[in-house]
Amino acid sequence: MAVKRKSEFRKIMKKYWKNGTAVLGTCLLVFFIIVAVFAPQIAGVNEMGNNYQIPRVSWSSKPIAPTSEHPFGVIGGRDIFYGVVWGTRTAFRLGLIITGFSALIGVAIGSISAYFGGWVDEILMRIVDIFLSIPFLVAAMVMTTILGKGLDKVIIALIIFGWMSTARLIRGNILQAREEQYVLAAKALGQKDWKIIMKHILPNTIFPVVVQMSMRIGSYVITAAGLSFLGVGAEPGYADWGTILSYSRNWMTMLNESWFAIVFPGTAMVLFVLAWNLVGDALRDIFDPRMRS
Amino acid sequence: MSKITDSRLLLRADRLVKHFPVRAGVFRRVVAQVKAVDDISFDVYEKETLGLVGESGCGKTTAGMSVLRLYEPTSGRIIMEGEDTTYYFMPALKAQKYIRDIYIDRFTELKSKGGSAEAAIQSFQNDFDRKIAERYFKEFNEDRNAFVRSMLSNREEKRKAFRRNAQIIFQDPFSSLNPRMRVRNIIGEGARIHGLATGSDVLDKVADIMTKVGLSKDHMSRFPHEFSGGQRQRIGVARALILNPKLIVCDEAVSALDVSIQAQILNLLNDLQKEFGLTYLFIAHDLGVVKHVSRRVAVMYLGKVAELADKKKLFDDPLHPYTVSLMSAIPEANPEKKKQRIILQGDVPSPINPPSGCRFHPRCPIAKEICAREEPQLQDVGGGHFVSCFFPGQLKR
Repeated sequence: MAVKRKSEFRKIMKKYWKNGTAVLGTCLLVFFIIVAVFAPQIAGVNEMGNNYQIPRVSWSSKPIAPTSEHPFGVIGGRDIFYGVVWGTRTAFRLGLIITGFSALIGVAIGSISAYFGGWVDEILMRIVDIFLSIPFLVAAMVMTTILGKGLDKVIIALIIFGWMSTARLIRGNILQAREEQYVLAAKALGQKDWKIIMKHILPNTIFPVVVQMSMRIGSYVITAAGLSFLGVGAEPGYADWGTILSYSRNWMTMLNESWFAIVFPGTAMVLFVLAWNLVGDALRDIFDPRMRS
Repeated sequence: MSKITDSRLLLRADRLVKHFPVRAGVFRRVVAQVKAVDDISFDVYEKETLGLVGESGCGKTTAGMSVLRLYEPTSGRIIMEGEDTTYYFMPALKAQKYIRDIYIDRFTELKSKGGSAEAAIQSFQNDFDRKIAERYFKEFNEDRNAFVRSMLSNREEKRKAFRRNAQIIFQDPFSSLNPRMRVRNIIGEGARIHGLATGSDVLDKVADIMTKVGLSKDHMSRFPHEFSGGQRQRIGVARALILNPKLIVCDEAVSALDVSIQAQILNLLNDLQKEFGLTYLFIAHDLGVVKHVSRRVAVMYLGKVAELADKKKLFDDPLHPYTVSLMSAIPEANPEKKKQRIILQGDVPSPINPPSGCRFHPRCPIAKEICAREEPQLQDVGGGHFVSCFFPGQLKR
């Protein structure tokens, strides 16, 4: 049995590597992981203290075009290359923590809602509606204003306003799967309730959530960058792609002098989101047996 | 049931009722009941096929699901092989209340009315209740708690035995198989649950069953989406068959298939019935299919049984006006023959608010005043031909 399963895994992987976009996504992701892991070797460390603080290289706020010493240029006195490389770590931290916790809350609330039904369902879904009725970005901004500046506050704000779609997704999936005839058939066979949940309901409901999660990792990084750009995110000088972008805010009218402050962190962000989206697509194909053949 | 009792009674649905509550408003109050199945009784004998026909929404599927307790019946009893199985799947407190209400209270009342335990026992017409009454009065000496305890003992095993004996084949071959499971696991699941085989023996058993239902055992590692509709239905049959059940509820088992595949599956079901001595409760809306497979047929209309008889009698000499009009609608493959069709007026009324008296009276061509006032009971008019009509046989083709 074990041998069989292994060969099957190999078959899936073979298929996976034949899919061009999946390979591209995986390569990009691996690249970002390498950059994040080897950030001290690639961009060096901040000798003044906290590595996540971009070291000051100049006291003038004027942008300095890329040179061999600062390959991505300098803005606001900060080295952009250092910020982009160390910002990769920040991006992973943001994406993984926010998505992980919001998915956890969402799955818990969604499955409780679907499982118990009735009053519990009604109350939980109205709470979801209340959270959804506030525009996401506005809510996150208000939350970070209340909590104060800093990346951890951004993470908390985005978790608080990020779990609802998962809750709805899993609730809908469970409600749908519960009525499927194969669940009735399992019941008729005399299968235990928890085994029906584990073998029949969860496999048909959880994978869409996993796929959705992987795609949301990228989009949360963009949202966090948006908050930083607006000035309610990470504190100035923090190694975060959004923070670098926020420096370029004052130089928007002089793009010929400050383009590098937008292009490098922007490219990193686009590729990061692209990587997660492609991986998400590939995961969906792997998880769904109907897509395999 | 007088005449056809040459074979043993397998299943008796006794005054089965299933109402679905309709909830509305912010507080989810119950505002109405959909009376999907409203007091129906029928018997199924061993190794026979009882057809259950009726138009969409008449409650035939609900009846089948309630028999298997995939829906918890609102009231009524389901007796399988001489055992009351109704309380098997109830929560413990509800089961206790059921036994007290249905048996102890009734027995006590009969005893005080008849004067003695013996009179109470003899007052029962059917063997089944008499046997339980005998047990209650003689074996337990009217010890209520001991009686309830003995009824409720080993419920887990009783449930398992019931699940093993009664299986179902579903209508839709696409949603009845878990898309994320391989065929070997879909078919083998039942064998594992009931410990009929362990380890790799399960696969041997699966292979064996797959061959029996006309599938290649080489396909057992495939997923359901890799099969055609007819093959998927065979997988559904195999899943039920691996438990070696006595009763199989075929819930519109061929309705979703095209005609040539229908014939294949019907023949397969027929062959399996002979080989394994199966009993079918065959739910369908296609009279031709029902005529092909059934020995007896029950016709349902709006949650009630309108007529129940031997197939031949029902098709040649229908007595209920609804059955008569149904029979007149069967198309015949003879363009020369002009048939007189009885076309019913109006639509089927809503099961939320069914008509008073006879459910069929607003559409019945021969309805009289009494039909709106009183509800006709399902009565034997001779030879196991049951009709619920005040004027049976008066509507002629």
